[in-house]
Amino acid sequence: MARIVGGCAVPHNPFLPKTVAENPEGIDARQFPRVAAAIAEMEPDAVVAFSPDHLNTVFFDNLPSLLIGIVDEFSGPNDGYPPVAAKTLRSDPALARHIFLATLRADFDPARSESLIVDHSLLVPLQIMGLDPVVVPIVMNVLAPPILSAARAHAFGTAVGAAIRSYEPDLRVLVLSDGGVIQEVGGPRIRPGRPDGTPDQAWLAHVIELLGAGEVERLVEESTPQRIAEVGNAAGELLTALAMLGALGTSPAPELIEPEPEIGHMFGVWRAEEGG
Amino acid sequence: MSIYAVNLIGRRTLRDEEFRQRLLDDPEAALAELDLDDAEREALLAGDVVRLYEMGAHEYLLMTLARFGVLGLDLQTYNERIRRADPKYVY
Repeated sequence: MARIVGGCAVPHNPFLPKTVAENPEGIDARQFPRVAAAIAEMEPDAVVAFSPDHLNTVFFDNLPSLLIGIVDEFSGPNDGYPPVAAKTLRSDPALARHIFLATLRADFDPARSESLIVDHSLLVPLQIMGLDPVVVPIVMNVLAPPILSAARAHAFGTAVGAAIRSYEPDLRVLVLSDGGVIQEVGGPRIRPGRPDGTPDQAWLAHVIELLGAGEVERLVEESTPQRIAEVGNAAGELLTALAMLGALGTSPAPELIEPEPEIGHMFGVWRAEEGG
Repeated sequence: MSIYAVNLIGRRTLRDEEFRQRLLDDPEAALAELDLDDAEREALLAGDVVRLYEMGAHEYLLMTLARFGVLGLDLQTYNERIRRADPKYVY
């Protein structure tokens, strides 16, 4: 049977490849290799990724809250940020189909895509970490409100975790989330001269404190739609991490949890308990 | 209703080079083909991103207009203008 070997939370700001290259002493340049080393140690056969879309893969003509890619491969980015290299990623359509069916039977209603092009989100961290894994993409609308609740995201992640564990092939699966925590992008609370802002540093510190203590359920409770909206128009990206932690299934203390206050994101690594 | 069309302009500016060029060359003609009301068209032609934001346009798509320098916007102008808006806490 498949098992979950661990989880990680990484950022995806499209300028990070440049930031990491230009500032080797910065938090991003120091933390990405730590996450990459942990992933290498966990030796995943496949990654199930909870990833936001920025109205690039889906749009207001048809905007699901949750979408599972059931594809042999998928490519990107479709949003044209020069620091992000074009990439085609291999996927595992059998595992993806199993997750789709299992979550549907668990009374969730994910959309499915059998032809998928993604934006910078997932590609940025993989590019920086130099990883080319097999990825089952789960695209979440966490940026075009109204978005699903934190509780719903966490519960969906839990259902995804159960689906992975009920998959017969003997696979080692890593669950991954990408996104920020307190970002404002393009909205009124951006900083002078920059496209982004970090409206609520206290929330970032609080999120890190709760995750560091393994208090995932409390974080889910506190991440109300109103609270998420108050801390940044991109703060819903935290829901990808809450889904990932739902899939992980327990609330262990992370072996790595590190905030990056300048852009407003975090790095985290969790190892699954024995048996996944 | 037609705020959808305003949002669509951001998407087309990113994806559709021909449309983007027409928006640069002759904004009024480029916008004429879209289902916009008078207030939306006026705000777009003025690069009034605060008004468009207040009308419900998504800020990611508004910023795309500035990324590509259409409708008299650039990233600096966009930054100066959007920061004058009152944040909407949409949820």
